Amino acid sequence: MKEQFDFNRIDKRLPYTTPDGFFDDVENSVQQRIKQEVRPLKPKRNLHLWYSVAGGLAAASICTADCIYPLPHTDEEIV
Amino acid sequence: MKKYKEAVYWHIRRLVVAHEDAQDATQETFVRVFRSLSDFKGECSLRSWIYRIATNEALRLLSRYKDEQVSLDESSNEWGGLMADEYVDYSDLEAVRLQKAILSLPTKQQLAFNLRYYNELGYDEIAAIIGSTADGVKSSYHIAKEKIVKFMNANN
Repeated sequence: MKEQFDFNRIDKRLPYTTPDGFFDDVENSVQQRIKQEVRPLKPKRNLHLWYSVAGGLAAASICTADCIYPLPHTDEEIV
Repeated sequence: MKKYKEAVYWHIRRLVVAHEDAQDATQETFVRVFRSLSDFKGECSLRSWIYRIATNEALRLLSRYKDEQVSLDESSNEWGGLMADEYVDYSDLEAVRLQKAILSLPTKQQLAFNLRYYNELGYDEIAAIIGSTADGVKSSYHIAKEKIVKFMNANN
């Protein structure tokens, strides 16, 4: 009489194998790919902030220069 | 990734069979998981979400092969990959036959069977992964089990 198939006999056994150290390698490969993808994405510079700071510094330097080297006041009318 | 890498790999491997394909699909799964982690809304568990991505990757790969196979050789058998892979222990005849039986099932039944039998997931979770209902998964699982027993007894 033929032996009937029984799930309990085979349980979760698989005929598949993997190369040694495969699971560590796959994790490393994924991390490498993620790093490569992240690297070119440098944070964008906040140009508005830079413009504001530069503008502020320029205005401050004009005021400072005006205080230190005030323009001569003349009553002469500029023609 | 540590927590899920083995489970995800074996889930994919059971579907695509060849080790190299499973390796590619596993890598792609985790790259996609990392890329879209910010999009994960928590509507299902993280595990279900990862399994869903893994399943889609495996099916994407299989459909690509199916297209190529149809155009190259329509007579190729379904488990050609199982016969060609270096990382299969052919000495375990019963285990090889069981995988052949599973691979002969329609995709939905394969998924329901694998996720229930090997991964021991609940019907609701499987339904969330494969986009079905718990009743549908339950029915697919039982049909799959019957077909497998029939296959195994016929090819004994």
